[in-house]
Amino acid sequence: MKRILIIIASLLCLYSISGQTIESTFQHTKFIKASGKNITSNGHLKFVYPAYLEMKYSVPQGDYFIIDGKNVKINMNGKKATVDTDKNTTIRNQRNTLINCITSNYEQAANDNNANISLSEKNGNKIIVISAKKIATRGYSKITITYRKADNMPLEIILEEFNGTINTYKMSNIKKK
Amino acid sequence: MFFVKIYRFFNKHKLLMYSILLLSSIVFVYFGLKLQYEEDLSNLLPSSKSKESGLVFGNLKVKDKIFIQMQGESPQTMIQYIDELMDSILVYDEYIANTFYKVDADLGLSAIDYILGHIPIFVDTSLYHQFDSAIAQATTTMAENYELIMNDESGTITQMVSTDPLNLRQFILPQKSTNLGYTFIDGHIFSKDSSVILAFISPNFQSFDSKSGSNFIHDISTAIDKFSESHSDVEILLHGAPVRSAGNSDVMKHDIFFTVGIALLIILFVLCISFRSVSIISQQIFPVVYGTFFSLACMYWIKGCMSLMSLGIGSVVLGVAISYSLHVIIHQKFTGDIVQMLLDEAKPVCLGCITTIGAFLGLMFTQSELLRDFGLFATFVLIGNTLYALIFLPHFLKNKEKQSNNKILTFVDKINQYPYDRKPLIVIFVIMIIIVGIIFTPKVKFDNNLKHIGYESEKLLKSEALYAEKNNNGGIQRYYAAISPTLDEALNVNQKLSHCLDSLKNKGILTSYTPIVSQLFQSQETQKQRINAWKAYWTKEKINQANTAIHLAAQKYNLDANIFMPFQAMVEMDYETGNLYQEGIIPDGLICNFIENSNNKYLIFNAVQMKDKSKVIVDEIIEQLPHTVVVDPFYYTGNMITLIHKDFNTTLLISSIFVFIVLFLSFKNIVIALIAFMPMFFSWYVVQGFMALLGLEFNLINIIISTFIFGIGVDYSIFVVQGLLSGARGENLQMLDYHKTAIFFSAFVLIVVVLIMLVATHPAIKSIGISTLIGMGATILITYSLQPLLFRWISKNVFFNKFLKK
Repeated sequence: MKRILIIIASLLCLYSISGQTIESTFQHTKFIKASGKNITSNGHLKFVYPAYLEMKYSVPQGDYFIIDGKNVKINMNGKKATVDTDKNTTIRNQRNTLINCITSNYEQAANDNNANISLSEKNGNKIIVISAKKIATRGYSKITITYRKADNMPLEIILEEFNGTINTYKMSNIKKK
Repeated sequence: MFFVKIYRFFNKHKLLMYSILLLSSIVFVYFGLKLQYEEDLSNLLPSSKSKESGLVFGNLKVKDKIFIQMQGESPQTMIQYIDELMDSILVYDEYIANTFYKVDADLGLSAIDYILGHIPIFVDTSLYHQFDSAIAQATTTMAENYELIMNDESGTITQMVSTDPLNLRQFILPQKSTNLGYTFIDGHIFSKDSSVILAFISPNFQSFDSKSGSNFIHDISTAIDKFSESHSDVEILLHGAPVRSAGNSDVMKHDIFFTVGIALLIILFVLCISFRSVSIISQQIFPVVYGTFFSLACMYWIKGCMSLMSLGIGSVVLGVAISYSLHVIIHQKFTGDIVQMLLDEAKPVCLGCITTIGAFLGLMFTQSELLRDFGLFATFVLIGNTLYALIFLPHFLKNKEKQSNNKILTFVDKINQYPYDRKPLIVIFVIMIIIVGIIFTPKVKFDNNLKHIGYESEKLLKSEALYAEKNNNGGIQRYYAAISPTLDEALNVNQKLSHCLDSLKNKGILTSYTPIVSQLFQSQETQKQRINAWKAYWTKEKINQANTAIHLAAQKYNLDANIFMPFQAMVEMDYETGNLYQEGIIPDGLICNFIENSNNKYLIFNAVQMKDKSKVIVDEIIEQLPHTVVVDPFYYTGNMITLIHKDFNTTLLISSIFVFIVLFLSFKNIVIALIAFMPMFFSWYVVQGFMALLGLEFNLINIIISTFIFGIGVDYSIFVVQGLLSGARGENLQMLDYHKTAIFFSAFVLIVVVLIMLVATHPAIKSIGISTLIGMGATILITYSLQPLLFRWISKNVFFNKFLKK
């Protein structure tokens, strides 16, 4: 019964976002558990349904992470690359997870990560927690997404890796077009 | 009488004759111009001894790649420059299959990702005992991990360490194998000392497509020249098989134009002066042009393409071709009667043509495409030229117009009428030359290295030398390949090849060899074995042992042991086999150095470095291995050329027998046939002997000249014998003089051609000059002295006299 509800909720969210362009500012925090370091950066996000996600960093200036169809363009830590996700499982997983989280297609995100889903509500927001069933070399041990209940806009995405590294994306000034 | 009848028929039907001539000329020119040319020397040689080594002659990117080298002061400037230069070259994308001049960052990301997903297949089963040591040394490794983690600002290294805290990666891919022997700076390829930046281009045209090859190399050279004008702080060099081939082709075309053009100008000028006639130019040129286009059209119909070098050597045949029309023109000038001229000349001209063709046709028995092309081309030139000389040319000559002697012709007469055969000193001199020739013949050497007859520009040699110095430790780089119809089989064969090369390296025969391919690519069977070995090693006990070691070590360095969860996932995971070749992770410009599919066969390449002197030994050892080839066409051509040389004696014997039979059937007397045969027989020994004496070597090209000397020797002797017979029978006492005048001018024509060849740039064309000159000189001396002397002696014989009067 829970699974059916999740699927229905997921489909409704997907319907609500399809055909839209979303723009927002974001703050990205990377916590490296091993060293205890926190790296904070921020920038501007633009998403065009179904699979264009542009994250342009203003801090550090010039860095970007762009999903354009099956290609991912990266300019981070001084390294530039355009990755064909058909040839790279790790980046493909990262690409799919982000797209699925933004489009509220968390059912798919859970499947991709061999994970369970749980739904809850807090402060009028919908919270989805995707927890991996099994440890893996790649992918995420836990994904937490907070959606604005009114319009299913993602407010926060937390991606936890198996080595404890946590990437948190907090969206603000969200505009739908 | 046949040609007389044709002459009389066409004389009555001039319009028909002109129509046939015009129509046939248009057809021959049209189809002759459609003929394609092959300019890669290596492709002209015999199809190799096995189908597998035949692949080496085909289009292989590893063999056909173009090397661009830029030498300058600062690596950063060179990086900027090479990107700029390559941008200007990449616009010629219709000629480019792929390039390799920088490694994009995504290659590293995707490679790591692939390795992570297929770790067991990169672990040789012999390495597992080292894993035990790695577990035992977990604490030491953790100290290094701690440093790496604490200095990591982006989390990337932490990710690697958390997956591999025991540093097992050190066993998977040795560091040195990943750099391919180059230095990488900002993803760009540099020589080991970082002083030269490199770019590699694989063309997408077939190696025999000389037009595209020449165009592309010209485009690259233009781009480089333009770039160099504005960037004088760097030097750019270019080499590789297509560059060599294009240079060869350009020089060959220039030399053909130069030698044939200049020779024709001199010859026609002298003939005009000698005969005080301008019309002799058209009378000389048209038969040759007609014969040439007839031959080119025939070559097009039969083969569609021929070697450009055959055409180059074929310019010598034009000398023979000119001599037939010369005989017709000169005889007409002296008799003033076209019918009489045809009656006198048709037989010796036809006989000369048939025997010369016989000499050239001997080449058809060789396995070399080059020699066969030359033989066929020469044969058709002679047929076309002879037909024109005997059918069409008489209609352009003036009847009842006799040549009045001028100073030049009087001088020629004096030379011809000198009784060489009655001067003992000259006769003894000629006999001595023959004896010396026979004695030294066994000492003549044959150079089987095709590279020695190919043209190499100074810039090309400089580029090759720079690459060898910077990247091959001053030695040479050589590729050896395992070949099989399927990738799996080829990879299995490559394992054996790799072991063999490894043992040669351990013995010090190879200066460098890293089995990159066998480390990166494994057959499905090997992959399954390795996955099973991984499973067998990582038992629950072993995983617990490793985890305990990691936990204890982590605690020691105050690290949270949970960050190493990915390691546990890695050792517990179920793995499947993969296909790195087809994943598309490695860019085409790089993977073509490892694996290539050609003619439905997979070739796995292994690059090795060695001293030049070791090449012969290593080649022989590798060639003995099954399904393994040396990726160097010159290795196989060397053997093939040696075989051709051995075959050549048989070829000459076949030609000699054919010529002798034709002479015997024609003259119906064995003694006369022997006298006619003598100049070609002895002149061949003189050529060989004097080549040996002068320290000159035969090569694939000038050995062809022997057939030419055969042809011309037979021609001269046939005309002289015909003249001697005519005189002895009292038919025409001046016949010998007429023939000798024609022979004089024919020899003049050939000597001019040959002398101009001596100043040619291309080594192949140049090499023809000296041997032809010796052969020509010997032929004329024997024809003018020994032949008449022997004929006179034999004429005194009663039985022979009876034959003459028949």
